[in-house]
Amino acid sequence: MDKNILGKVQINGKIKCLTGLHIGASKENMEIGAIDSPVVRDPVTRQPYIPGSSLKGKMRSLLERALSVELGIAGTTKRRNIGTRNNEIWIHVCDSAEDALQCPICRIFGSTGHNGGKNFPARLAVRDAYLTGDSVEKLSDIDTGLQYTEWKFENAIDRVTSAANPRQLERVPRGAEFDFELIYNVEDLHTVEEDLKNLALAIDLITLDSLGGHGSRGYGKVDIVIECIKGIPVESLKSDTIIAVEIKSLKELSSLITTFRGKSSGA
Amino acid sequence: MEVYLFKLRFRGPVHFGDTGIDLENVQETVSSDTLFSALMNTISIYYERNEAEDLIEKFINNPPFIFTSLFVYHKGLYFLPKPMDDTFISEDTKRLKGKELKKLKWLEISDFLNWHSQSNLTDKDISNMQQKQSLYTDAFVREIRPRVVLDRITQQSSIYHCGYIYFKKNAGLYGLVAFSDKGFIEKFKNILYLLGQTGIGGERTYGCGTFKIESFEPVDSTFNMILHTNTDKYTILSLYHPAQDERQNLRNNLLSYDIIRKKGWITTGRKALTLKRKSVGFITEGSVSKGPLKGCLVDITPDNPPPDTLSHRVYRYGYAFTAPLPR
Repeated sequence: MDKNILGKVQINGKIKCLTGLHIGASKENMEIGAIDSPVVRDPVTRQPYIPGSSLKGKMRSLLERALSVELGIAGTTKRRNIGTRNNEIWIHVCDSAEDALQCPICRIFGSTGHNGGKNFPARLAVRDAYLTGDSVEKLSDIDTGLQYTEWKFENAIDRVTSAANPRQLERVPRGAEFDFELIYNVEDLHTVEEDLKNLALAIDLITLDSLGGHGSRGYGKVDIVIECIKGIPVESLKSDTIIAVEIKSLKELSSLITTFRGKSSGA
Repeated sequence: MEVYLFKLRFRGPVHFGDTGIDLENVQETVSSDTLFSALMNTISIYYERNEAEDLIEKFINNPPFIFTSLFVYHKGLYFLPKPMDDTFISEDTKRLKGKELKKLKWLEISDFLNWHSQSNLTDKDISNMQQKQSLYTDAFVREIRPRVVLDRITQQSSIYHCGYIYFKKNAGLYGLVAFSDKGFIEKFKNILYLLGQTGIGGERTYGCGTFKIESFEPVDSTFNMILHTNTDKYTILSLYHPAQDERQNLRNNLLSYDIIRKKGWITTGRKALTLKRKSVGFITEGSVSKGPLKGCLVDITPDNPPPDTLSHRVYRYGYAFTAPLPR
């Protein structure tokens, strides 16, 4: 069976940092005396951003945990070690494209085949989220000695000798806003609704969890505001004149799904 | 032949994988065979499967259009690979400036035009070319991003790295496409537009490789000079795989060349298979020949694919897009 695209759902919105956000970058090429733990930055503009992979990974892992009983992650069946023998990393991945099509996680986020099974490419694409123009303006004025970000000093104290072990972390200050964009490819009609509902759940779960590192110490609390959801049927993509149905929140899903209905005769 | 130039502006980072450790190695250009496969997959996703098969059929017999690999443009300058032939350069220059010449890999278009007519390359010419090449390397930033995967229960982490290319403002990739069948002009543009929505290269699930078509226009006078000159030497601007009837004479025909081996996995429509395609050798961009070259589509379907996995043949694009080198 060929997988053709029936259309795309484009979700745009803003991620607001309610606490400092730390998404770590590599410490290679760092100078002596520099910050211990830097954040990722756009190599061209030097502005911090949220990588699509961080956002997508967080959505996937939260949704996997939310549906863990159903998927057997807590048990022993439907999970795979993608680490090494000494460093085991267990996540949920379906072994074949046929399984993935039935699976609420792999259908959205994709899966790699195992033992001759086919890959299932992700239906969802999560773009890098960049700072909004307003935030860039606000952050360029701050006086912390770092560009757009703040230092945070943390300290661990020996319980007996009281010897200190200080460290410095870099983080994006509270109040920063990022523009995000998700693209969901509509491939068949009977799974759109479930997929989009799961997407909405994953987004909600992030706001209750955290983004980036050090979440248990208060970092990375975010608010996600969905601003616009567009349903774009494939015909309008082809003709270059985009006729899309717009809704404001994922609660109005049913009106979105009708956009793709009636165009599915070939699928 | 109607030749068009198209410019692509990328909306975010791109990941064009290269052979090397894991995902770290990336290159900044896209070769013609990759572009062809991306276009074919776009057709089979957005249109009917048989439309892609029809077009493949046309390409096997007589390609309705041929195109170059995608090269870098930056601030209105277009770059092309330096032709590998240097027989016209005097021994003295080679001895004194050999290293500098060797390090030149990309020529700006006007230098490319003059390359062969400059039998007396002066130091000034060379430093001029070097200066422009620095604009080439300035067009993009290479970044290796650390990535991590966490255990769903214990939060145990495993780190790996992935390479990305960021094109700067006013920079991106461009290509030339020559239509022998004018009916395909609109069609090509349309497919390219759809490809821009999906993205080209890897890491597309994180939004990499999506682009806007900045322009799609008939070539201007400078490019026309590159394509229409009387000469006895040609350089290739795409990857080239010799057709059956060209192979006999190939050794005499090629003056200087390089070979690249392309391998990888098979994707059919949106479905990626865990099936390796046959690896195949190509003669690279910048190789120089005595006469015009044709090329062909290479069948790289694996010999005995597991049953029910692959319902069609797999091809790789090897048609040569040649540009005459002015004397």
